[in-house]
Amino acid sequence: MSLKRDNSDELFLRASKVIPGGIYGHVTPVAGLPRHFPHYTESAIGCRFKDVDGNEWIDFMCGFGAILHGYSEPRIEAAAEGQRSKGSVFNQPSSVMVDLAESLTQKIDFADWSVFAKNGSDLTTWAIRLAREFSGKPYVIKGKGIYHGVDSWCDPGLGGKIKEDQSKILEFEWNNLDQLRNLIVSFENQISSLILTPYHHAAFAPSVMPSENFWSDVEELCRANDILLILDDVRTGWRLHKGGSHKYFNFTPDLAVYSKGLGNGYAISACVGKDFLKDASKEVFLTGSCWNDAVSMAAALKSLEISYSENVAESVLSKGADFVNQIELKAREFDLPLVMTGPPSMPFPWFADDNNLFRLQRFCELSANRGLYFHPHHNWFISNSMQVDDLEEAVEHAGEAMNALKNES
Amino acid sequence: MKISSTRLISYAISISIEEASTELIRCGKQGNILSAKFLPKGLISFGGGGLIFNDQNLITMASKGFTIPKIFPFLFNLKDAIASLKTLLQIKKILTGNELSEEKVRIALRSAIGATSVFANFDSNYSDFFTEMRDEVIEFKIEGTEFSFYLCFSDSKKWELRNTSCKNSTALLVFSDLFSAYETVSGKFDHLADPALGRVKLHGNIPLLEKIGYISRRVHKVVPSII
Repeated sequence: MSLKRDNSDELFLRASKVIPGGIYGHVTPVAGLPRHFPHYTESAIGCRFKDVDGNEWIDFMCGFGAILHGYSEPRIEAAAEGQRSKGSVFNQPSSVMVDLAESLTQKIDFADWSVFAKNGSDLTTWAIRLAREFSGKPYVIKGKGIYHGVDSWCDPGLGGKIKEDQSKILEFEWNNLDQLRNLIVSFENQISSLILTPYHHAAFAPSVMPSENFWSDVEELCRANDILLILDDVRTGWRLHKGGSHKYFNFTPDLAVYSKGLGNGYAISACVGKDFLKDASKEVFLTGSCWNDAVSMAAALKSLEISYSENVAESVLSKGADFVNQIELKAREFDLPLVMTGPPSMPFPWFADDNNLFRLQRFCELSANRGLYFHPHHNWFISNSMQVDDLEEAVEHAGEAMNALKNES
Repeated sequence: MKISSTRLISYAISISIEEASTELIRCGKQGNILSAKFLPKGLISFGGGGLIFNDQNLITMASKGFTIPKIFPFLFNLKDAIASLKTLLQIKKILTGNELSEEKVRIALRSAIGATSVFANFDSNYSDFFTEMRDEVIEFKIEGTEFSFYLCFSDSKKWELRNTSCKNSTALLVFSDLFSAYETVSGKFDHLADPALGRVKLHGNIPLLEKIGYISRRVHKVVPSII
């Protein structure tokens, strides 16, 4: 089965003349399945989207995580529309900024204050600067291969870099506490912060959960060595626990950064922190042209309210668990060595002996031909708008793709 | 090994000449395999030793298509030198000809991959790219043709260009036709747009292809070429 793609290609050709590479960044076609995924989307509702050629897809990427409650969620759209009718960016912030900060500090147990920006990168970078300001220490530890954004200290790309960009960044392998301890000893009294995601959701690799004592040991090491613990909850926020992902893994960070699920498609990010960091936070300059955008804040306020009151994290974990079980069951039916890695709300498939991803890429191509948007290189997301019927339909088509894959091998 | 930028460029040109001559002969043409040997005092010999250039001569030859080799070795090994020169001229004729033949694309592509391998191996800017890698094999193919090139990374921690591979490919790059492959070698490849438009297909270890692609674009910027 071959999907229509004339409009997609025509748009892309136009784009490539006026936009470098046509489409860049994480949504560049090169990073996905260039001749199987569409290049452009026309519209989206719930867990489905329609591309510019009229093909309909069941979506397992949720705008690369920016959508938690489903596309065009009516209550969130109404909240955004209500604010839009009054205006979005003014000379001063809107009252909704205060409401949103209050809501975050009420719902996240360790949070005493909050600041806002537009993207995860804006605030992961600000958070490490804040830690340096507070501690007067230059070094930052991060997990190897963990994505925290596009700023020079953590940019995973190849171009435009100099060695000095990351000269104060130390890395350890996820779950390797001995390596972490060694870094702390080697750079004694020089490390301002440790920034980590709740689990290791790597691209081009299986997701890795924290080992049993990982977070308790990390927290203890940070406390013992005056290292601030920064949680990058940008991708995971409200997908693991309604009070923030630290609750899912039972630890307490000093700072946490959120974005994606916070705004349900509206550009917003937040950093929350403990009271003892509030004074230092005032010293680290933070601003952007549209960062006080009240429409995004109104959308985030509603999204947060839904996430909390309806325990959306528990819901997507539960829906994801059913889906993951069904997919693994199908794989066994076709004798394919596939396991789903990561938490069920953000699963990522992995075939045994397929470290170079040939088989996964082919599986995702065959699935794409059946209208499933399964990404071969990036963790998937379960939208809370997914209903049993959607998931059953996806599993059925995935089974067809597995059958085709089996017949090819 | 720290190599000066001039030496690195001449090294890349030398290997691209060696690879071009190898492919010329694989295509059934008469000629010498112009194995590059690196001599003291910034000299490089090709083939049996009759054809010797210094770094700067070689760079001039690659950019202008002509340069004068060292006279004495040329005269002392006249037969070898003339055969090597004929091979070089034959490569030049094919690469600068108007016809887009399979032979031309094979020679150009192999030559470009060879130059890229030099920068991947010896440019200190890329020393971090491959430190944690073990066995990798990048296979290059063109749809509608039978040949493949394999860029292999093994225990030696160096990239080597081969005609065959004893291991399975870990990444595969397939050009849709000769034209797309030649455009790539000519530096007209858009690494973001062309895969999206189906001019090239990428499979397997995509981050590895991104790294090699990044280096190859750098090579195209700094290494002169007659194409």
